[in-house]
Amino acid sequence: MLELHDINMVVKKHTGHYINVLNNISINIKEGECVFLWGPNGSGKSSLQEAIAVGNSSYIDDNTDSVINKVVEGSIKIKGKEINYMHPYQRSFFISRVTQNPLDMFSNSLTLEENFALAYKRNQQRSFLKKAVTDRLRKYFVEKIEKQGMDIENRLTDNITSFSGGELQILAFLAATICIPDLLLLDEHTRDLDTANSIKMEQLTNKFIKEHNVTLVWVTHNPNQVVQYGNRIFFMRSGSIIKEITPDEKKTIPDSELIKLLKSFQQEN
Amino acid sequence: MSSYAFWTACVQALLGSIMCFGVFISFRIIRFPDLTCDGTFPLGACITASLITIGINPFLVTLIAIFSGFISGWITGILNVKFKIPGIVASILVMTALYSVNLLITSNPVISIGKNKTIFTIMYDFFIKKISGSYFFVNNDIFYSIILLAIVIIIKLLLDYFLHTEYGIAMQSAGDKPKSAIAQAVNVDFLICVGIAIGNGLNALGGSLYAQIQKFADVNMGVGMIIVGLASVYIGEALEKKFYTEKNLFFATLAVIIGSFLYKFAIAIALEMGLSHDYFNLITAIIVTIALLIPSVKNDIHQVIKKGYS
Repeated sequence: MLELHDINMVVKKHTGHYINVLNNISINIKEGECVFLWGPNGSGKSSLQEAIAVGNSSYIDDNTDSVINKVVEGSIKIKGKEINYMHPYQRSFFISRVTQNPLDMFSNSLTLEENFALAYKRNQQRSFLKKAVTDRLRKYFVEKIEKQGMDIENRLTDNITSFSGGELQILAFLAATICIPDLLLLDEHTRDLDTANSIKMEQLTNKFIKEHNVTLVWVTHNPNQVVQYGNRIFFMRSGSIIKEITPDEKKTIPDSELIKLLKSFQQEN
Repeated sequence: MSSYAFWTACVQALLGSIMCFGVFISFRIIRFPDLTCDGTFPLGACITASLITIGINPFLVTLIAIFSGFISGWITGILNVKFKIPGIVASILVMTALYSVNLLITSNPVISIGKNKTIFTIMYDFFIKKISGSYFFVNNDIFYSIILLAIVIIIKLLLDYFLHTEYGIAMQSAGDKPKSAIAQAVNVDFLICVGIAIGNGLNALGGSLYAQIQKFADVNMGVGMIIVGLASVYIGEALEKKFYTEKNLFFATLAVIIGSFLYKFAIAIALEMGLSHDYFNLITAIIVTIALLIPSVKNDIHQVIKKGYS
């Protein structure tokens, strides 16, 4: 389903200085698998997701006002189709991503319902004439959000910035899964939630990928989530994958052993 | 203020608000620092004047003028998104090129429409002479104001409607936060081009109607147009921020019209008080500065200019 071959990601600065963020990453993931990326901070987990979802990009560094280019080399195939030449917006037709900052999913100048309407049309043709938010859609959004225990009825037209961090994470996940992607990329999407909501969110995530047979690449720092939901685990350090636990191997390792292994990997440098 | 000066200011303000909608779209919806309108405003006027003088139907001419602005805006957009030329530079390039294009079209720095029919004289003949049987005489400026008001309201309502359609919200998102728009599979580059093109189409429409009312076109008439547009848009924005804590598009577009009126009347009163026409641009700059001193507005323009360099 997802095949990465020799992925290198280089961050180039205007001075010619460059940093290798990812080194020769080759992985192969089957359809419907729940894959975890595990590793200490700065090991390239989020960068790998970015390489898949965005690819090449350039942005302006706020401190120095200079242009920084991110270049992704190698081959990325989804369902046998090469996507590394594609524009990021074309990738969004079948890849959905929740980044660490849930506000990245939303536009500040739009209301909550407009943001959801935008996400709702992600893999369909948009229209120049049709109103984006209809009563039918509004009802659908309310139903979907209230299932997660948020009282949303009166807040649909609120500005997106008026929601709290935890609420935004729930909303970001719902917006990302409102139409069904082939590949779902999650980056610590339970970080700002309290324990009860975090567990609820994990279960929701698991239910969603099982129901629609969606492939999931999940970044987390919570070993319990890995043990409970993971099929395949990649251990990353300084931009390389140094260890892989396949689904078959995972079945043979007891849970307590695995937690120990995960924790010790985080600590050693 | 005399009645004559009042109605002249009204016509000017309504003409201005058509152009200001263009500036509104590029500066506040797309958040693109588009200076092309200094070129597209006279482009619309010059195309209109030269085509009307060779006897083409004025309604068709107006459409051609809008289309020409649309194309110019599209070129600015392509230079920015495809060739990565910073927004301000791209728009200045097109603006500069349009000056020569305008001279080529008119072959004279100033071109007069003379006694040729314009959409306003046609409508005047139709509404006043035919329907009322010329029983009562209506001042030209009052008549123009009514027609222009209708056009402005139609544009405002169309704009309000468009901004709430599926592509409308996609365009707002593309201008506000390109990264999140891309995550929702919005073709940001395309929509930015479309937005700039629509904005410049409106600028050209403003120029076209201006030429048909003033009965002449001047290749230099675009100088400082952007500042006039910005004055109105930012006066309007300051008003909007005063009344609404959250973004309200219906009022935002209305505020553009109000801003245009406030600006033109401020100028008219200043001139009435005996200020020379030479001070025109100075007064404009002072008004814009006052509008920009409002913190939220200052923040906003800073964001736009910064984005223009990416």
